[in-house]
Amino acid sequence: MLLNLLKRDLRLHRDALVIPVLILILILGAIGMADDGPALLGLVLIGFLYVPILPLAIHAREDSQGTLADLMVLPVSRRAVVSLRYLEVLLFLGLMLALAHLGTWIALCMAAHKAVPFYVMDRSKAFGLGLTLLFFFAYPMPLFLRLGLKGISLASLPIIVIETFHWFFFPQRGEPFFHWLGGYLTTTYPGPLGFGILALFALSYLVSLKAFEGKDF
Amino acid sequence: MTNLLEIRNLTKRYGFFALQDVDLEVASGTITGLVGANGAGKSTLMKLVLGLLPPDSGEIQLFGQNALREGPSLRRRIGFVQESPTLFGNLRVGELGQVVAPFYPTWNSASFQRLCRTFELPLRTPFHKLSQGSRMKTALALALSHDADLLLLDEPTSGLDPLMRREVLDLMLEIIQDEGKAVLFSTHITTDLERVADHVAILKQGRLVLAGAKDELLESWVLVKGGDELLASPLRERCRGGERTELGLTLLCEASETIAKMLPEGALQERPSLEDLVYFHGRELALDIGQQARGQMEVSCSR
Repeated sequence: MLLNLLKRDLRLHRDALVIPVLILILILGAIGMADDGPALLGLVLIGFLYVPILPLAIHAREDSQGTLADLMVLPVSRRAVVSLRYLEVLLFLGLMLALAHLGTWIALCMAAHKAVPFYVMDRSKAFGLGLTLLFFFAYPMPLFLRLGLKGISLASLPIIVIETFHWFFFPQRGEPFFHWLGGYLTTTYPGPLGFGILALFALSYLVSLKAFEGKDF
Repeated sequence: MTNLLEIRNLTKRYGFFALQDVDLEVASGTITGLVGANGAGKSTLMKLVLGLLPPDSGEIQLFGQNALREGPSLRRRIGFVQESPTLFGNLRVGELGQVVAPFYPTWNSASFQRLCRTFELPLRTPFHKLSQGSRMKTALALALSHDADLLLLDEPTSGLDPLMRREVLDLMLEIIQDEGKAVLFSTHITTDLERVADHVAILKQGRLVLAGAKDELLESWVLVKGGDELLASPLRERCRGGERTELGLTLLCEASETIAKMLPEGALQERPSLEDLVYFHGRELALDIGQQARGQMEVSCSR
């Protein structure tokens, strides 16, 4: 069932796949330019940020166009639709992690023993970035699946409030709260942080199931 | 005949609208027409059956099983056409069949191709570029290509030209030649009901005000025409609706053997058409006698 849904998404939203493919081509092209480390990192980051958002963009588009209701008319359970979205986030995130590692490996090979342009995306940093993104997907997903784009706005509100207070009361830190918190937790409690975020992702999935169950189409 | 769909005390409230205490049965081998004004709850009822809306209370049995619990697997046996099909707009008609097919074990590609040819659908044209009529035909072709036992058609003839409308209605008749299948369709067009429906259900403001076999319903009601003296007669107690025109009063009353004796002198009775039944049941009947409004007056007929 999930495979059928995935195939359907790929066929239905093939236009949305143009951008990740473009990013992939750019990354591969940039690897050739061994001295352009920062540009390469920038491209990978764009990929990291954009590509896992795709499933959410797809879902939002279907919700606004009414094709989500068409999907629910098919013999598909709501659980399957929620599972598909989470699976897609993980797949795309995994794809970007794999690409980052591949890029690093190729860059290392090309640079041999010289300065490595891709050094910033070493394994632990890529993994850390993946975990952080996982957190930011896990947190708004139930609201998003229930309320569509309105859910994203609602989920953004507390983050904006927290960041505003943080800038106001701790200007000396000079960085966003979640960036500071992520850095602090990663260095102090790397293990529990990883497990915590994975647990949050799992909890988010369970809450999403419940939230999507009561959605009207 | 077995009931493919049974609805008991179904209630759904959202916003200002409420579908209340709806009871409906759709038996195999029959076509049931659901009729009512815009906003009466026809589409809501179909969405509830499909599980697109969770009900507040009540029970829906599909093929003898609880639709709320077993919904996704039961939907394999349902073909659904919505009022304004959106489907998956950027796909071509031919691709739509390929997208939908894997979800139905009973999908018949040959049947889909045949229906596309019958409906003269351009397989290579994107769905969103089709006319309203062609969109409806595409949705019908998809709904009919997996050998569904129950067809739920939400205004399937809207936007179709008279020729195609006739074809769609004939198609419904053809479907129920297999006595294991049934059709529930909603419409505003009473001639469609007259042509194909075995059973009729009239929804008014979220309530089912009349339901039953079409022929029995037509025999159960009578139109009485006359002057104001009708209101003073015992007929008024048997009246469901009425209107005043320049020619006099027309009342829709429950038929009985004694009704002829109740008729005042000069009053006439005649058999109502299906349109009359829908018209008089669908109207607001709460106005007071004597209240004039826009040259026409509806008559209070308390039962």
